[in-house]
Formats: sequence, C-alpha cells, structure tokens
Amino acid sequence: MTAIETEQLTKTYQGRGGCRDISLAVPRGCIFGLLGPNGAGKSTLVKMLVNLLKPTSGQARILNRPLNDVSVRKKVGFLPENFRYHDWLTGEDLLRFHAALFRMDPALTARRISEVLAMVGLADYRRQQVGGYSKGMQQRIGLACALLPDPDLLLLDEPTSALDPVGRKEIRDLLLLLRDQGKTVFLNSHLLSELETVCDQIAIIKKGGLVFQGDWRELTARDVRLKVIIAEPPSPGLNTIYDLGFEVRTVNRLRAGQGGVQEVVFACPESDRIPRLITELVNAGFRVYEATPVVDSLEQLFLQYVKDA
Amino acid sequence: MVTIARLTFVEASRKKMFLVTILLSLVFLVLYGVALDFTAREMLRAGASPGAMQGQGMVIRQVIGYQLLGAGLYFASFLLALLALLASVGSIASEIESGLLQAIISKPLKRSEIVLGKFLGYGVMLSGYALVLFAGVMALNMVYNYQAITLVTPGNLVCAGLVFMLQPLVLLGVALFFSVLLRTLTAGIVSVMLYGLGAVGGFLEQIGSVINNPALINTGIVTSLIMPSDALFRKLLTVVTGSDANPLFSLSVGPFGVSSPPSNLMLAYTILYIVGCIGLTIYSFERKDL
Repeated sequence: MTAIETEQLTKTYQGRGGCRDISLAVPRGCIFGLLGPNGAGKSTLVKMLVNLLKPTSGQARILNRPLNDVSVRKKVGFLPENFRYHDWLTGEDLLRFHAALFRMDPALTARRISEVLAMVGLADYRRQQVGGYSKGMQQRIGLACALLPDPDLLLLDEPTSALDPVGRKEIRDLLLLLRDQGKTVFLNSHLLSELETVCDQIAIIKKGGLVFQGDWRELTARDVRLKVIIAEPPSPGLNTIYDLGFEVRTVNRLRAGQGGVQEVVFACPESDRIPRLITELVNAGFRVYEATPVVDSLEQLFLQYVKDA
Repeated sequence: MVTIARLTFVEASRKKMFLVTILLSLVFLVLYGVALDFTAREMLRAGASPGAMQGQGMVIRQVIGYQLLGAGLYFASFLLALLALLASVGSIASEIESGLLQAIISKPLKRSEIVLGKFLGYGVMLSGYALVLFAGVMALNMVYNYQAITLVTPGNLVCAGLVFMLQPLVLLGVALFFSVLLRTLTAGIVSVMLYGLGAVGGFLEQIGSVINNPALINTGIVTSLIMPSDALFRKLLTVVTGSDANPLFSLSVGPFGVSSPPSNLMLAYTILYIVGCIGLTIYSFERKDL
C-alpha cells in the first residue's frame, strides 16, 4: 500500500527547470524524506502533489486516488514552505476556518482544535491573533492546520525552518508519534541531521531527476568500515596491515617514531568479520587501542549522490 | 464556497479602506445635502422674485435639479467604483504573492469555489454599501430636489437601486479576472484604466448623440461593450428620472445627463458580462500554477 505513487511525473516551465520523470513510491506508515540541492525541483514536486502546480505530464496517486480527486484532500494535511495565514484571526478562529475548509462538523472541529493546539504547544495562545505570533509560533499554527483532519498523509515543506532547537526536537517527536499511529509523513527539508533522525526512507532529487529512493540505512549498512587505533610492531612494521586480507581505506599517522600510533580504516562490508580483523591485527603484533565501526551518515550519502549522479 | 465568502466579507469589511470609504461617503452626503439645500433656497428666492416667468423658471429648476441629481449619483458611483476596485483587485493576486492561498488550495475544495466565494463575499459587501449610498442620495433629493424625481415611481426606485448595485459588481468581476492574471499593482492599474475608458466612452457617446455624429456614438457603444460601467450609470439616470416620459430630461446633457439612454438590452449584456468575467476568472484560476 502506498501513500504517494507517481509515474513519470513531470513539471517544466517553458521546457526548463522543474522536475522530470519522477517515479516515486512512498509506503504508508513511514516518514519519507525528500532531499536535493537548491533548485533541484523538490518544491515543484511537493506543489504538484498538493494541487498548487499542474503537472506537464505523468501521473500521480495520493492515498490510491488520482491527484485531481478533491475528496482525497480531506485526509491530507499540508504545511507550505512559505507559510502565511490570515494574521487578523486568532489562532482558534484560524483553525476553525481551516476546519470548515476540510468540511469538518462543529463537534469534531471543537475537539480537534483543542487536540492539535496541544500537540503543537499553542494551547495557551489560542485566543491571540496570529499576527502577534512569533515566526516559530506561526509555523506551529500552520502545522496545527495541517493536523486538523487527523490526516492519513502529512506533507510538510521545511516544517522546522523557523523553530529553535527545542521546538525542532518537539516537532521531531511529534512526527515519530504520528508515524507510530500509522500516519505517513512526507518531509521536504534541507536539514539532513533532522531527516537522519526521523526518516525511514528517502528520495534524492538532483537537477529535476530522481537519483535515489529507498531505505537509506540499508544502503549505508552495506559499506561498514572499521576504524582502529593501533601501535605498529617494531618488525616487520606497518606494511603488514596490507597482508591481513582486508581492504585498507586510509592510514593516518597519529604519533611518529618507533612503535608509532596509527589510525587505520579498513573496509569491512560484513560486520561479523570485525572480530576476525581484530584477531588478525593482534596476531600480527599490533597493539589495538581502539576499534570503532564507521557507517556513512545521511549527509555523506546525500553528498555522494549529489556529486556522482 | 460559503466559508470563503464569509471570510472574504469579514476581511473586506474590517479593512481600514472600507472604514475610510464609509467616512468619505458620509462627508460626501453631508456636502451634497448642503449643496442641495443652498440650491433649493436659491430656486425659491428666484421663483419668488418679481418679473420671474413662471414657465421658464420651472424648466430651469428641473434642468438644474436633474444636473444635481446626476452629479450626486455620479460621485456616489465613483466612490463605489473606488471601493470595488481597491478592495477586490488584490483579492487573489496578493494572496498568491504572499503565499496565503497555498494552504487553502490544498484543502478539499475546487478552485472555482474560491473564485465564487470571493465574488460572493465582496459582492455582498459592495451591494450592501451601494444600496445604503443610493438610499442616502435619493433621500436627500426627495427632501431638497423633489422636482427632479417627480416622475419616479416606487418600481423605478427599486429598479434604479438594482442598476446602481450592478455597477460595483461589474468592476468586481473585472478586478477579480485581472487579479488572477496579473500582479496586484498591474491588475489595479489595468482595472482603473478600463474604468476610465468606460467613462470616456460614455462621454463620447453622449456628445456624439448631441451633435449627431455616428462615429462618436459607435465609439461610445463599443467602449461600453468593453466596459459597461458608464452605460450602467446612464441607464441608472434614465430609470431614476423616468426620462422616457419626461422630455425636459433631454435638456440636461453633459457629464451628468443622458442624451442617448442605453436600452434594456444593455442591462442583459451587463449581467452576461459579469457572468463572463466570473467564468473567465475560474477558467484562468483553474489553470494557474501557484
């Protein structure tokens, strides 16, 4: 079951820019991150999914309904990147207005307003005008608007851009909670460290084209390395490490001289080979001070794809 | 659609511009009332003076009365046009520019509902304001300038009120259409220029009718088809003075008179024009990338 499915979805502006042939499948019940450098076409894709832009070609389905099916949007929440709301309304009135747009009945509206205001931490500011909110509070009220219909799919475009570190942590926790409730969260963000902590799957877009989609942790787990700090034996010396049967990636001398200390990084694609590597090092006369498995971060994976593709 | 209409109405009514327009309208009505009062006193004085010819005095009083009535309705129409254009010209364009519409369009409603909601919200606000303003102008004329409206029946008055109400709706339709196509400032300039074009075309048609110049008359008619606001004003004067039954009215030409009254077909055209504007606005908005 997919929450979002696109097939060669394309949007160009007079034949240029935008994004091309995006075929994406976002499974339900996960947090899906959309990454890409500036101008890659991320916002174009998100805007097509919420009906702000008309696709040039291709197809898309949201919650198994075509994009142009208005009724499906009753179960879709959206927080725009450039969030802006009627600043003369109070937070509560703004939510009531958005609830009416979602065609929610008055009883449900009253209940959900209290719930979402508590979720985003604005319960004490419900009667204050939105124009008097700080930027971060405005982003929170935007998130509250998106959460109003208890959506099955939440599309968030840079949802923490105006928040302080504490606020970001709160929103991250909220997203994880929503994911655990079975909701699908589609995140477009530049903050890789944030995506890394919450996203189950990602897609990377570069120059309007999709260059990767899938479980990024599975991908990085294929390239486990072991960083060891060792003191080399007097004889035959450091060169023995090349005869151990493991690929040596880098060698850095940390302390020079006889019995000098080195930092060596070995490729170790299967983690169950780590004990054998350490045994081999000890048998070869090396003294092992430290051994740390190294896995690529999302940032490294992203940079690799953006540079290579 | 009703949700959008309600929000639009409340938002438009609480704008400072609306408050300023209401104050300006009050000032206008007071000044207009003072002018009518002075004129009425002067008429009485001139009528009572020795040597005044009774028949000639009546004609002059009626001609001046028509000019004053025309002037009052003209400036009331102008205030109304000002409010209609300024309030609605940025209604969609400015919300696209600020990003306000992004969170609304993603909701389960058709884009046509947004356009219709905006038209309804502004339309109700402008119609209400138009009726109050029209009632104010007519009430002052009933008190001080009765000779100008002696032939007006209650039916004429209702009909005139509806024609007066149509004026801002025409401009609203045009402003909404340009608000989808252009940026706020450009849409404002284009809409005001069209309104001006309608007024100039109206004058040309009246002048053409007086000097019997078909080229000028045709130019005015074509202009009225492009922007029927001035034709509506001429129709309003015709209805409110009952000019079809009053040959004296034809003497009151000029900016506030009617020498070539628009037909009822023009009213039908105007209603179609408004519907056409809304249709074009929906068509353009449905295809617009935000």
